[in-house]
Amino acid sequence: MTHKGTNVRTISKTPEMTRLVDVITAWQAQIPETIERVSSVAIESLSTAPRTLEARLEEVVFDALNSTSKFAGAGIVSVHPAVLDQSRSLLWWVTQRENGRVEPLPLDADLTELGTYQAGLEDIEWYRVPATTRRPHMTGPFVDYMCTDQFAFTFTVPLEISGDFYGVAGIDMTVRSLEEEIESLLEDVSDEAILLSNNDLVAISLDPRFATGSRLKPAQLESYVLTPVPGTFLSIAAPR
Amino acid sequence: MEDSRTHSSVTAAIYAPIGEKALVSRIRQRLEDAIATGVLAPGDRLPGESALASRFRVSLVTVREALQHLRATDLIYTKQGRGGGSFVAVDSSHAHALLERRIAALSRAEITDLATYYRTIVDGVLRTISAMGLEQNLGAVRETFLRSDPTDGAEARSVQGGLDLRLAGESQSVRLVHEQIRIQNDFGALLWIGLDDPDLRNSIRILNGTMLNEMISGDTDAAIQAREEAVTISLRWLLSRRNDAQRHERENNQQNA
Repeated sequence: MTHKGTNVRTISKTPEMTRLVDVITAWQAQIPETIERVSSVAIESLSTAPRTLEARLEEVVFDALNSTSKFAGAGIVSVHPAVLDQSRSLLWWVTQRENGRVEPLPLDADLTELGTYQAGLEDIEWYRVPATTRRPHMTGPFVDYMCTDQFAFTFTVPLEISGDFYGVAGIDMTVRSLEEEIESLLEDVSDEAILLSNNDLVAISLDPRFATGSRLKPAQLESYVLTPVPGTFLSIAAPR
Repeated sequence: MEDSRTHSSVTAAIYAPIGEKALVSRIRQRLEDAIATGVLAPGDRLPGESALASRFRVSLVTVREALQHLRATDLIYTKQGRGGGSFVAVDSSHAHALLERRIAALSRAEITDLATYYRTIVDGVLRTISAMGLEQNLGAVRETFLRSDPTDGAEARSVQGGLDLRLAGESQSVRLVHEQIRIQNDFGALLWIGLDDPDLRNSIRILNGTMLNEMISGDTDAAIQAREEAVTISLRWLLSRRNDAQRHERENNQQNA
């Protein structure tokens, strides 16, 4: 990842900051490996037995969603004819907690009032960025009103078969799952610390002036020092 | 003391009937509107009963009862067996008559109130997007909008609904999204009925483009103004349709008398 600002410094050595960075890193540690499992199943079925795509994906996604309470949803999204011939564009499952049981539900956006929303799938950040850069991306936090109706991060990677782009595989994690873990650690760093996503989008702010999901303007960013969390799209902003 | 609190207008609102029994008629109304305005076209297949029940978050019995009403009024028919299900009936004149009745049943005051509500939600959405500093996210929304090429009223209403939902989503407010979905279900199909008219369709398209351009360039007031104008011309069209429908009804009544 690249950093836009000039006010980025390397990891601060204070114990509070180190602890915070460690917890954030651990929070998303399972992401790369789990997405890799989902995408390799998708690639394998598409290349060998496309008819099995949905069933095989369902199996691997159920397993992933049941393995931890941190994932709110997972699957693949594609507008490639090879996928649409077999199935829907959104092969995505969301975690539903009912009667204390986790039950992954297929996301049936085709049947909802939101059906038309799909018309613009290719323009949405979590699809567009991996499609253009062919690299993993983290979108958000944004309100995931197609799935969870909560602020979530969506991690997506490109699905490629022999260099051709087929869509994205990804996982949703709620902001809440991170907030619960780091709120007090963030306080230890500063009473007005902010966790930023992609350098300017507010993920968690101790300063009530900034709502989750809002974007800090360059002038506002001037008054903060940013500490990037290595291997993530997140950084910690503390007032100068 | 306790009595006066119990009878205050605020507490009265809390204890207002939830309207469980109205569920059947609300589901029926929503599907009727979709059929009447062509969002669901003749021959379209409805989702299965259990899928509908889970989408509407109601019981299977409620869905069945609503579908039964639609079947009884010949708006849908059911085929058994493989490839079966509920389908929208092919006779579109029936849907047209239905829409006229629906429009005529609303008072002018009800229609303008619904339009006020619709406008207020979108105003709030646009103001929130700019307060959050998220105007640039609308670039992708504009891409999608510009790529669409609706050739009839039903397609244009689908584009309009999609655009309004995307906008609500960009505000990052769950509650605004839910209100948008609700007003769209209650009133969207009717408000945008004027999109059947090619000239009006074109004007609205231009106003939508202006709204998006102004938002992206940071002039929220100009964007809101463009949106309000779009709602106003659609509303005017709807109200004149309503007058026609009522005149029609009066004439029919006189003939029958």
